[in-house]
Amino acid sequence: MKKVGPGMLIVSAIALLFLVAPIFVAIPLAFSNARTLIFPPPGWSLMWFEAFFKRPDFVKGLRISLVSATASTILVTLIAGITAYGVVHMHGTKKRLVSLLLNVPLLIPVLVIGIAMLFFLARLRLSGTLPGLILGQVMLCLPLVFLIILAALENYNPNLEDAAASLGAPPLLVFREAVLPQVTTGLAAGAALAFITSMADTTMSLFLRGPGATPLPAAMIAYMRARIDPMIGSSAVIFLCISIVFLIIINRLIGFEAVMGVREE
Amino acid sequence: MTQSKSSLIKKRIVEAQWTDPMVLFRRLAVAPAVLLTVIFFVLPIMRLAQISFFRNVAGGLMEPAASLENYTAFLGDPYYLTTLGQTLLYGVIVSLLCLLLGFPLSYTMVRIQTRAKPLLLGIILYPLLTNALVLVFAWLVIFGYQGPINKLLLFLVPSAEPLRIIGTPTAIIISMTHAGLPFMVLPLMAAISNIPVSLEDAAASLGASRAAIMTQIVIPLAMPGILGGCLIAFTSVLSGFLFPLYLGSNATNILPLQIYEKVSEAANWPFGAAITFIVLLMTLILIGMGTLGKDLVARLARSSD
Repeated sequence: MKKVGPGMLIVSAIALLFLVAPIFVAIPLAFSNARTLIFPPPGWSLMWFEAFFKRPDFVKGLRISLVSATASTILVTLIAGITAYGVVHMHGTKKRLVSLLLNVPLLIPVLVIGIAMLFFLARLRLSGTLPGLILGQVMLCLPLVFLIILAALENYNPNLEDAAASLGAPPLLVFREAVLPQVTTGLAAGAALAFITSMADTTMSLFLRGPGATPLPAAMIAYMRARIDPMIGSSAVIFLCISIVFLIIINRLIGFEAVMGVREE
Repeated sequence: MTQSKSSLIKKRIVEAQWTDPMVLFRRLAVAPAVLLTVIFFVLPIMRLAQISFFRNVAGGLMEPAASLENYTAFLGDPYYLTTLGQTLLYGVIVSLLCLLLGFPLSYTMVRIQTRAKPLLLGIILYPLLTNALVLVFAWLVIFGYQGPINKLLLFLVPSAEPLRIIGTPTAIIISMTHAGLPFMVLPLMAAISNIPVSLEDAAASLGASRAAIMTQIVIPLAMPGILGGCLIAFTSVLSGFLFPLYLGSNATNILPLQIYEKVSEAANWPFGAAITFIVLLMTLILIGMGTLGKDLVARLARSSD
């Protein structure tokens, strides 16, 4: 007997088409030669990409987005990696409490976290600055990246460290030979997820923006106040390309099943 | 016996090595993320609660106070109460639609064997991992006067008037269901992947129909995932201010948009903080209900044995 019935398959196909539809609309429109959001486009051109790269606020916004995403990726991977290493060596109630605390932010709406962050950073005079934006994105990524790295460390064997140390290896050698090879994949997957999450962020980008730090999503929203034209589509294509490239990297590294917590048969 | 003895010896060694840099590093390694979460998650939430009791002063300033006026202003104004009701309504509708689409999709994705699986999983995950403005832009095109829906309509019925979709609840519900669907599929796939196929095979070999297998085996066992998925899909509606901002109208106002407007446009932080805190309370109530629901499901499952 076939495992999945025809009804299930039909609904699944509809759901997948629904999920993928925006991509097939947003990408062609970025290459449109029309001034309005006419679909399908009457003709093709690169004029909207040209317009994008001629606007200083968009180019600067893209640079700030890339800088803050890179910085938050490095920070969050280090922090989540070190903490996951500590949690792997913990047991019992303490381990459960630490995991719980680090996972709670995943249940709270991102908007609530963003507003709370804005109020708190404003008190520290950090809102509207690049460090503030980076900090906001670090907090956005931290629970996710911690979860991914911890999941990748599921088969981590702490005995290798002890064995190496008991044979007289100095700590740095232990780290390089017994720890690092076991955690590299998890860290890389965590870093890719952190970068993608920071680039996908609109909440922190909007609320923590400032005169010196206006990331691309904030610049786009300022532009969209006046008009919405295919130039927004060219930014959309840039964002989509980044997401797709890093999705492929994550899939190559640990597979989507591991990200989704799905047990493979 | 040797196992416990060796672990005891190991424990003694570890205790004796407090000064060992490796052991010290292991013990301190948990600190960075824990400290960061306390300072930049717990403290900001407390600051949010504090500001919600402050008073707004003209010119975007605020005055420290311990007043309930933001909350009484919210609860005393039918406009905000309607918005609150509408938020709950959209949350329920979006969660149910996500479940209707997400359950078959999750089941198929777990049980099907195909080489295209990574591609299909990528299609499921990308809305979570791409900028929400990309999706907003795509929906603006799809729902627009010159978009594919209206083009198709005019092609089929040349005399028809173009449909106005942007600004209607339909636009909000469709875009939010799209954004919420991956959130529904994640916990559902995890839950369904924990159900052994052998259970379904056994039931089928005993003559159970597909419908019976679904309603009596898969759905009850996947219930924690269903509850979790509905909870997160609902929560995603509570974050979604961009969809009503660009695809909505006055008739589709929801609390996230109110928060954005009060904090970003009107610069009334205390009132924005109060609405944000109300949204946080709604989330906590939902989490509580979800936990109770899971307990109830577990108890029902035990009593039916």
